[in-house]
Amino acid sequence: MTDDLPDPRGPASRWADLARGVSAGDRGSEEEFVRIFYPNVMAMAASRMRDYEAARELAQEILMNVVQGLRRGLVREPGKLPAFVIGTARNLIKHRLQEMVLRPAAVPFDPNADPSASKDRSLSPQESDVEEEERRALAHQVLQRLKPMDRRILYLTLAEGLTPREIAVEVGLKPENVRNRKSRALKVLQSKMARLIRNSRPLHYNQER
Amino acid sequence: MDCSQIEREETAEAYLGGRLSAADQADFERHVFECPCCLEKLRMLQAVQAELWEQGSPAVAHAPERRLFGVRHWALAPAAALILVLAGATLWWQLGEPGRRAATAQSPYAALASFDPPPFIPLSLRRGEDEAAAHFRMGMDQYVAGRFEAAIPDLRAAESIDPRACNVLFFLGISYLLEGQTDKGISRLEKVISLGDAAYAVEARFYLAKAYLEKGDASRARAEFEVVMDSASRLSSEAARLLAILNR
Repeated sequence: MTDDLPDPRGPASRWADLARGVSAGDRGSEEEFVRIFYPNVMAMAASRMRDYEAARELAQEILMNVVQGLRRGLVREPGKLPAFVIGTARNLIKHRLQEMVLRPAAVPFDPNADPSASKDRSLSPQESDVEEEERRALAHQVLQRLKPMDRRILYLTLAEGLTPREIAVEVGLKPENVRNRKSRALKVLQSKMARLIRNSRPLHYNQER
Repeated sequence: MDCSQIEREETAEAYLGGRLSAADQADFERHVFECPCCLEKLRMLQAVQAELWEQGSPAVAHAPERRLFGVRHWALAPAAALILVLAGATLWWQLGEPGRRAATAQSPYAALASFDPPPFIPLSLRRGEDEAAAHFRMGMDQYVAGRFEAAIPDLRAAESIDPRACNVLFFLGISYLLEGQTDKGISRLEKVISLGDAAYAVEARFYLAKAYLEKGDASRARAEFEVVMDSASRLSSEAARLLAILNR
């Protein structure tokens, strides 16, 4: 097996390098930080906010908050930068949802509107937390069941943003094989997570959403 | 952009991997907002990505040239040099006392109330700049130069446009304190704390405690230092030291 060698640097030191660059105000590091984390944070915001622009704004606010946190020395373990970003995102999204509950936006009355269409994708802060944790737990569970090579390919695809061609060089497979293994692994993940979500989600989730 | 194209071109993976152009990224995001299926898939991938970040890579095949997020190590040399320069500048800033707050004779805790201005490094995340951001930038140019009195008008202007911006309130509060306008400084720092912005709240408490000491109010200063001490931030040990002196 070629996929049993440990990563010589380890992800923690790479995150720490990035965190240090961002803390020091290095523009290149900031751009890299945004490239890596914006989509993940935006996906979190998109799943909870009703409005595209509001979600984008919130995602940007989250990233700026993390940058400020890094610069103010609030990140105790820079090697765990992703956990800090995701924790910050969770807190700020929760805070924003609480604000929305307290100060709901005024919606002009439309007698012709379809009542079912008015149901937006906002969850309560509590539901949002539960769903987030549930999803992560399922991802953890399903990832453990994948073959190490498939997990590595997914890691390089999603965590490092490499293309199948680049991954092929890393793992010593043909790009086509990488693409096939990645697609298969994602399909397995998708079907197992969908099944687990259906089985584990409390009844009201299915009724409300 | 439609679902089949997204599936065929593996757009969701490319999106999370940060490999889409700005235009494709915006198209994909708009699609996701209209398509529950693609949103669901994106959420699944997002959870997997977060989990993979935490777990790290299970193994490496062969590492021809390790790269940091797509950047070769030697390419980071200028960034490392920049970090060293900034660290030196910060040290100079702290040792050179360009604007150390003068201790006043009125408070019995005047010596403990003095402080160096917290350093500021500008953000370059946002490409566009609105009016509030422009005032903030101009105010902070003065602040960084140690001209706190000159910083206040622009920071006030930024505050009037966005009264909930914690970065503006924080540095406006600090500038007021450095100019001896303690009550105005206290009101801004209290507002930062009430807004709950994690990036500034702890630090705001630290300088608020200093402001209370300036006013001779040791009990309120103690309460703020205790919170800072428990926060495990970079100011924790200094807060503990000051607290120990106050409790003697």
